[in-house]
Amino acid sequence: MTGAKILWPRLRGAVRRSGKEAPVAWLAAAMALAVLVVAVAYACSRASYPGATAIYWVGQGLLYGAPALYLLRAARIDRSRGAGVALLVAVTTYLINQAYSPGQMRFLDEFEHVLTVQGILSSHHLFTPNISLLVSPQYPGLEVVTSAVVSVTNLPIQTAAPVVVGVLHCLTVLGLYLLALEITARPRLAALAVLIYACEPHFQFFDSYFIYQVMALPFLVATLLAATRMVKARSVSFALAWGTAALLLAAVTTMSHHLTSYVMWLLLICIAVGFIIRRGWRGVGWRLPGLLLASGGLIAGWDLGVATATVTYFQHNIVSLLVSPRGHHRARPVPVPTAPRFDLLLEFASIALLCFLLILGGFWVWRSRRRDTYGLWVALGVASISLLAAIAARVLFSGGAELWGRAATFVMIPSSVLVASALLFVQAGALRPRRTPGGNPDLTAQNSARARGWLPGPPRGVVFGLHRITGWICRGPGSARRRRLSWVGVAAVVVLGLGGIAGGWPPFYARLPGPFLAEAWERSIDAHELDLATWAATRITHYNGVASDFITASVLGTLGHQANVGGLPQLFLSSSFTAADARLVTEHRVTLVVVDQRLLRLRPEDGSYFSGSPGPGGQQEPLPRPGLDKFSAIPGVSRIFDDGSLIVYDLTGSATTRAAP
Amino acid sequence: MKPTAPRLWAAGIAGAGVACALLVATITLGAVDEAAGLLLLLVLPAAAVVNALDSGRGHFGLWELVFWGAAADVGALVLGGLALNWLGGLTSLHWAMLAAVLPIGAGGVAWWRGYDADVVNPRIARTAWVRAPRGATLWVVAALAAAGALGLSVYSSQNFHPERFAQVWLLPVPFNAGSYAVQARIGVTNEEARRAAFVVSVTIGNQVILAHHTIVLAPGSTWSREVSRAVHQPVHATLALAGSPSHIIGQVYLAVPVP
Repeated sequence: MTGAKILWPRLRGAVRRSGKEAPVAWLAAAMALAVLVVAVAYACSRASYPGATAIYWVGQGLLYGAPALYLLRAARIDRSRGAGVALLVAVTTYLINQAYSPGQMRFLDEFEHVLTVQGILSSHHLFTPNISLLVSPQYPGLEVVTSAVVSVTNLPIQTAAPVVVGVLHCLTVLGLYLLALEITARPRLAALAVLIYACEPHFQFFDSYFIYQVMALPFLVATLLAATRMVKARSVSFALAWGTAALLLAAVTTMSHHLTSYVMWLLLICIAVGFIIRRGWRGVGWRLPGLLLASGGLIAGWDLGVATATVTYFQHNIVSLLVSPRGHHRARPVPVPTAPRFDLLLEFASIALLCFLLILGGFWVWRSRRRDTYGLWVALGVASISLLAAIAARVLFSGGAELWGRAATFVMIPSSVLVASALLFVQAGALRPRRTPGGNPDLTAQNSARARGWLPGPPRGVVFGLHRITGWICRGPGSARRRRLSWVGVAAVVVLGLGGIAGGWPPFYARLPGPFLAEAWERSIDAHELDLATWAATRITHYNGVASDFITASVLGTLGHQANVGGLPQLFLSSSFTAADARLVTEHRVTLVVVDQRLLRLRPEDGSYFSGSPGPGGQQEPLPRPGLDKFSAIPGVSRIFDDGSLIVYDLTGSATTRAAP
Repeated sequence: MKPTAPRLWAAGIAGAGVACALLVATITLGAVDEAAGLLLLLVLPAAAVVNALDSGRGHFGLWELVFWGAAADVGALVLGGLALNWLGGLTSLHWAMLAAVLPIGAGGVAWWRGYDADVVNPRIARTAWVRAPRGATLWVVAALAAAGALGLSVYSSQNFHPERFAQVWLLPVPFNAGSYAVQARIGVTNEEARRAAFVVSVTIGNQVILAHHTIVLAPGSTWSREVSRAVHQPVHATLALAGSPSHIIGQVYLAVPVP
């Protein structure tokens, strides 16, 4: 009996505790189920089942809806639960990325960085030239860590890379949570900010690929976090320690990715501006200017002293990004394939909602200007203006979708906090004091909201008469209103998430995996392409000039260790081999021509077969057979490879290459 | 200095780092290398940094420690890689040495900072959501669902509409000689994802070198043979599946160079 007396209260306490603690585990189960649903959609798509797309949207809706519901409805979100939600978002989205193509990279840019890793592994030194992307070896952060893992574990690059990227993806998300927590001091708001950030168009795929930006992102966030700690530190020794940490983290960012280091510096400036507005010039002190100066020096030193190809890289890519879709891969404008109406509707609905919530969040910042952390909030507000600029680019430029996606990775860092606070603000707004018939304010709902951490600050009323607009939602007792509004919040997050996917990466035609499609990015990388690249890398000499369609030439130019001579559409569009073709071959030092026979029956999903020009008849018509068959009729040209789809011609014995200088 | 819990923990991590480094440097066994290597590079330095930062003081919460530990680990690898590049190269031995030094260094800091009492960071002790029994069942369910998702993806990517084909190639030897080569190597690689029989036919000029030669190849394996020719003789090879030898699935040739 005595034992029972001792044990029973403990057991009862454990059961009660488990009831309180379970929601994160419930959320984990729900989000894992969402991943499973998406994996089912992928499997259906691979089997060409028509319902795959619908299943996919359901899975993605659940993936964003479940954490939103948890964050907007749970009674208590403490720091560890908030971190749990953030980590779940990171892990589940990365699982979706891996489920798309398990164990095999399928994005062309990833192959460029694989080439850099191979260079490091073979030479045991950094900065080995990479002709497919000259700047890649000059920002070797990602490749250094991957080559370390490969060297020590003997794992292949294709296995080591997802491990490294997975760690970095989780680090980015956890860092964002901690940064938002540092600024807002509210775990619910911080976790919601992470969820909003996960709605950005490139989050699930592009920002989780094996590309150098992925290494720099967590260090950008860590630098900002350390800088914030430095500014807030009460003692000089702590400020010095955090300042040193921020500088080291900035150094890692700088040697990992050019653009991210520039964004980091701009965000540090925003923090400085925020504190100048809050405290005045004198109140800022030496800390932020010192960090800005030191990190600016680091960036300038690295870019001018080590990464000497950066200027040329940006000169070329900024121009092509502004004039053409799919940016740097196209030298001239090509027709943009139009996304399905449902996708466009989702995308623009999410953009409109994002704008609305951002403005509302900005207004809330202005309302809370007497808060201690107002300087940081102003920094967020200033930095978030860039989101509106990125959205304008999406709407105004022909290649705006890619610009918006790329910019969103950075501009959503500050904006996500504002959007999240706006969401919670709307919910709290519905709980504003109601006048009872006697004229006394009913503070129960508001006090309850504040106790639950929903109200971001002291009661300040409701902006723009929002309570009137949402009045129809807000009838009835406080709990009913909260419930209804939390569902509205969940719907908003789901729209933001699905809209991000609809306008993000991969493009709509490659969103689900499946059989080969022509010029469809991830959907165009299949066993034929990969095996040809392996064959070229191992069976023939390296750096022969290769002319082919965009995807094949890119794969051969990276994994195949050949020299991609760029877009030569004329070579494939003429029905016979003309003198002009011979001149092209000579000028571009083309040794190998690779023909993909599937292009005879498949139209280019991306609008063009070749970099530089649309196909005949725009994007509707497959290539004409004579244009691909003519190479076999050229005297002296050998056909050295055939796998039923891809054919490689060697021009060495023909008269054309002989004339080459 | 008393050997308190934080200090013993630091010593343990440093010792594990040295042990892993020795394993990686001395044993070449797939699973051991992989496990020890991943521990050495991505886990032990992070754990050592966490211990050095915390040392039972409670300045950081659990997830802050995890973040700063992992960030310091990866950051140290990046900056360490830059240092190795100047100091002698990024070889596996150098990486193992660097990765062993990191937990030893961080362990030293943790030992120096450690309290003279067995204390536990109260903010870590409060993180209970992973330990609740009902939660544990749900975590298992979540892990199973995630594993099922990945398993389904692996299965469907390998079995639904798999690419099945065979490569045939004919290369001048040396390759740079092109059509002027007097030696050539013909090869067939089986990418049918199953054991398959092929029929290869080769002619040089008007002479048949291989007539319906049958080869059986395991998945992913390659057959090749070198042939000689005069420069003015074209070489021609065809490939068919043994099941239907008249249906050519690939053909290659080495042309006569244009004078």
